[in-house]
Amino acid sequence: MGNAVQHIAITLDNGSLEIMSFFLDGRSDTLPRGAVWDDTGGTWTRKPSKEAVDDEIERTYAGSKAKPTKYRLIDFADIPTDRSNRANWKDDGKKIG
Amino acid sequence: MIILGSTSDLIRIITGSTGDIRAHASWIDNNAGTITVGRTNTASISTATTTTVVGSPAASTQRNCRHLNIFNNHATTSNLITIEHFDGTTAEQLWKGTLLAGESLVLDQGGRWTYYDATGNVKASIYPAASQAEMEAVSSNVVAVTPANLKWHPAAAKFWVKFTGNSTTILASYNVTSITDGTTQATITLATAFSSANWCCVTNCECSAATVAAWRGSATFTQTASTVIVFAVDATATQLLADPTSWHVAGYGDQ
Repeated sequence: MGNAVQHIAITLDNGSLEIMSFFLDGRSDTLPRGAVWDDTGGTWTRKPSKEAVDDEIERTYAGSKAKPTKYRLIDFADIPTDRSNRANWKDDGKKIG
Repeated sequence: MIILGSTSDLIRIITGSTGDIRAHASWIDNNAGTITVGRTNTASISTATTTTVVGSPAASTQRNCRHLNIFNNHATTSNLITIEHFDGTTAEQLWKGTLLAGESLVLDQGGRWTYYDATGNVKASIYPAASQAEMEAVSSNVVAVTPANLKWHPAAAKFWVKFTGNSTTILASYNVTSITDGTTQATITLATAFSSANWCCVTNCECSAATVAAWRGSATFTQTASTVIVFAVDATATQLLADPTSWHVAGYGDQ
């Protein structure tokens, strides 16, 4: 079964744009920041709170040379389906392309 | 079942300490086709001693022990129990283990030993659950693997995930908290990190067809204890970066 996600557009200091699929549920033996265990244990859910998203971005880019400068929560429909120009995607705050 | 075939054969238990051990046996005697049923209730065994719980049959009779129940009736004290078949000369050990207070051991007529806990439920294992150190050592035969400690075994994948080539749809996963689609790559972030950046990442690209044109080769770089970046190339002469249909990624190592 797939995971529910919140998409996040992340602009990096090298000018590139990355799209994070932030898991809203998952399975692991430790609890991610901001998550809560479900009733049966072993699986968790979380909301894309600022605390949780900041923690996820910090862990994701801890080993990266390029660092995030801003991010924005977006809908799946906001992500262009044509990836031929993927390297030049930008986020102007309203649209990605 | 256990057969007592001579007038010297018997079943006995050895209690390892003082306490309150009870025993019940039900059996059938066969004397040239004449069947007699019987049972033996053994009064509380309160000392460290050897006690016969199924006596010897009469001459020309075979005794078939169909059921044997050993119960630790003490409120607090455990007891090391040894069950033996003794033929007057040789003692063969049938079972040995510690019964905690309230626990019991039952031999049924199918020959199966079943170990019950103090609540009357079948005890999941006669072995305690292995610790993280014992799981990682991969050597013990006297501790048990459980759903909670399996993750520590070196042979178990510490994470796995399948996601679409554009990194926006997660199809299945374990121990992953996000996938980030970059301009030429995808970053996988873990919930529980490895103990160092030195762990084994296994990747595979699922392709849209079984053709060279659809082939994608996978690779990793910038591996940390909690992240790994994967990317794919196509089969052209210059090997251009290209998305697969889906990504399959898993990791093995120490946590």
